Amino acid sequence: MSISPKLKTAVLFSGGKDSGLALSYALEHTDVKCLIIMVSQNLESYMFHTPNIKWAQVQAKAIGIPFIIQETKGVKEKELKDLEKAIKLAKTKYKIQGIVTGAIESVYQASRVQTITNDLDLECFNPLWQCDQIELLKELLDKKFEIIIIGVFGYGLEKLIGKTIDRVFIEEVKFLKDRLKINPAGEGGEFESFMLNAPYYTKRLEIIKSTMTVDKEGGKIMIIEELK
Amino acid sequence: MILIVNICNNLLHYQEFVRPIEDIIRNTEEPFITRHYTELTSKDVYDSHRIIITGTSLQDFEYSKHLDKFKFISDELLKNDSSKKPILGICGGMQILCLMRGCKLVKGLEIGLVKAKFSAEFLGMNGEKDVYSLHNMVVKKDNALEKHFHIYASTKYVQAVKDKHYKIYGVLFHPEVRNKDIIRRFLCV
Repeated sequence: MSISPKLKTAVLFSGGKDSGLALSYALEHTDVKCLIIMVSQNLESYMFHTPNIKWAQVQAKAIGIPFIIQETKGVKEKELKDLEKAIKLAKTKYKIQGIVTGAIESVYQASRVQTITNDLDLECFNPLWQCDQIELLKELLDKKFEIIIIGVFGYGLEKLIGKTIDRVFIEEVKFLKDRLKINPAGEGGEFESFMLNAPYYTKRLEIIKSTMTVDKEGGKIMIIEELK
Repeated sequence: MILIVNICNNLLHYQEFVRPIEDIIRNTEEPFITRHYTELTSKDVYDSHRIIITGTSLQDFEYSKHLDKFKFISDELLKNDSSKKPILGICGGMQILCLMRGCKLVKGLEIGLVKAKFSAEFLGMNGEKDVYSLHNMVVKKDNALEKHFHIYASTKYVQAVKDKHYKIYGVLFHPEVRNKDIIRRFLCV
């Protein structure tokens, strides 16, 4: 296979496990110039990971890669205009040639990012696309990621809140997958995660203070109040 | 042995366009090997009993500059191939199958789920189906296409074809994303 020079990319980064793993692939195969962090005011955004998103810039600093923060009201479809704005800025400022996402299964998310990148004449990479979701959890573990569950949104999942992804967690999720038919990587919105450490972090993060809250549909969210 | 021909120009696209196909085949326990088209040998083709040519990204057309790597699909070689091995081309792979038979490509953009109408049974597909599309170019519906292929499904573009003489199948959409059974059915053709 011919070796082309590494493409300059930006990674859509939420601070959760999927964008975290996608970033590890991006670092291996491309020249990552920046992270794009979408901060949505809508807790039920169709596109963007919302619980604790304000801490994503602390994670980006721990990684040591420049970042672009783009605020959005999170209104369906209009949030895509805000995403496009952030990608255009990354293209201008960092001369990126492609975007990397952590999309796994969501055709809705993937096709919208594909449309934006195609319009901007950029490559689009989805390195986790269609991957076996239990295998994805195992890969995170094998690669020494430290991930904590910070949101659970479904009946029977309450006990997963605050847990770290380890072998016991994976067994528990496999059991729940069969019993409750959940998406084991949580991309269906069943749970949200937060990356405390990864092979590319320059320093591990630690949650100093957090509180639990319940949303209007009964989902449990761990709100991080202090992180170092 | 199933031969998967990877047509992606960028290593990272392997994860998106090749690995999902490998995962489907791995679950059937059929043996397979994957080769990038630039490293493909006559022995790889000879040793295989079935070939899948993958797709690639919206912006990647590098493969179209290296059609000489796909001579094994040319009429001349197919006529002399006693094995008559089935070939499935997916998106860019379908475009290669058609280009090698003298067809032309024209611009045609589809991204996301589209409804394709199947006029007859095609690798288990029938009637109207949601298929996942990701392409900037399509095969032109002209005499060259209709000389070599039966058209089985269309949106505003040709979505599924089968060669009139050989077990050569092409789909413009991505069955490794939606309608994975197409790939499993192909393994039984």
